[in-house]
Parts: sequence; structure tokens; C-alpha cells
Amino acid sequence: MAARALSEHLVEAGAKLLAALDDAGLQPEGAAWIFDHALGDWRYVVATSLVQTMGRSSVYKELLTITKKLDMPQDLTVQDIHLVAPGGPLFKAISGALLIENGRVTVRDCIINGLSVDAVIFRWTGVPTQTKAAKVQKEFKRRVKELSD
Amino acid sequence: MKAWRSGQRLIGVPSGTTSSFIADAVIKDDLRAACRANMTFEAYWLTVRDWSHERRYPGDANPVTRKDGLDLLLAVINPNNGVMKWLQELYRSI
Repeated sequence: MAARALSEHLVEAGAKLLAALDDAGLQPEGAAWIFDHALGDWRYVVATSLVQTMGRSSVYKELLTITKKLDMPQDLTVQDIHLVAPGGPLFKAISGALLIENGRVTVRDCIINGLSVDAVIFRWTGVPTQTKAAKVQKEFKRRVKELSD
Repeated sequence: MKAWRSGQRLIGVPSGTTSSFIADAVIKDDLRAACRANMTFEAYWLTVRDWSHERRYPGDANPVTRKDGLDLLLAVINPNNGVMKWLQELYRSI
């Protein structure tokens, strides 16, 4: 299925959402709009080691707790975020070909490491070391506490 | 819920995902209300939503860690805020 075009409005909102997540101390290893060919729709995917260190439910809960304190884009909520682990197949396939620290890269109708990819990528770095993952967890918890007070 | 009772099914919704199940069952509004009312439930729902049925067949390329498994299990079976409890209550209310 060919990817439907993603509106410029949502692209901008995606960039703003990444900035909000950084502000929350989440510092994701990956953030991108990725077209899900099976569902025929775009998903905002966030790759973070916190999925493995804290657990998915805990990360979602903390984000829901602090969302009002963050400068979130108007049309996106925590419900629009789909968390993935950097060790997963999607993250590894793309990070095997691209390293994007910040910016905006549009990938259209590409096969990357055997995976059909249509995406607008804001960040896609490598799998973090255990030390880096522990540091991210510590910073996220500190920032959540700060924002919750 | 009314549409569900009458056997109506949405056409064109991809099947096999938790989101498509919610659409098929026409309980999107019920889910929205439950999420608004309970943040812990919402976090559990998002955890269940992210699960892919392809992960039933884990391998080196598609690992399921102990953390993943326990996280999903808790999100489903938590006696107070779990997704299964919500579904059971919804089913009883029909």
C-alpha cells in the first residue's frame, strides 16, 4: 500500500512533540512519523530505552502525569505516541542504515534492510549502552519529579 | 455499544490489532471515557495497544524480554485498573 501524504501540520507537530519529550527528560533514541503499511496510517513512533529499564506502562503513566506541564503540540497527545524499544526490529533496521541526531529526513517508498519504510524521521540514533540507558532513566525520573512538584 | 448489539461490523478496518478490535466492537467512546477517568488504566491500555500479534512468535530478530512480558501481563490482568477488568465490566453492562 502506498503511503498517504503526511500533512505539513502533522510534521511540524511531530517535531514539537520531540522537543516536549526532550524537555520531559525522555531523550528518545528515535522519534519519527512512520507509515504503517498494514494499517494504512501514520504512527508517531518513539524509541526509548526506558521501555526496557522502566517498563512501557510506567513510561506512559509518567508522561500522562506531566503532559499538562509540557509544551505539547495542539493536535497530539500521549495517546498518539507509540513506544518501541531500541532493541526491536524496526529500530535496528533503520538505525542500520541511518544515523540522524536531529533534523528532519523524509524517507519515501524505501526498502531499508528488508523493511518497507515511509517515514519522516526527526531522530534515529543507535542502541544505547547500559550506562547511557541508566543515565536516561535517572534524568527522566528527576525531571518527572521536578515537573510534578 | 448499540451497533455492537445489532451485529454491525466496521468494514475496511484492518484486523488483528487491539485498536481494530476496539473499532470492530464499536467501543471507542467507552474506551475514551475510561481513559479520561483513570490515568493508570490509560497507561495500561496504551501498553496493550502497542503489543503486536507478530510478537507471539519471538526470535532473535523480534525478541520479547521478560520486562515486555510482565508489563503486558500486568496491564491485562491488574485487578483494579487492568484492561481485562474493564472489558469484563463493559461486557456485563450489555
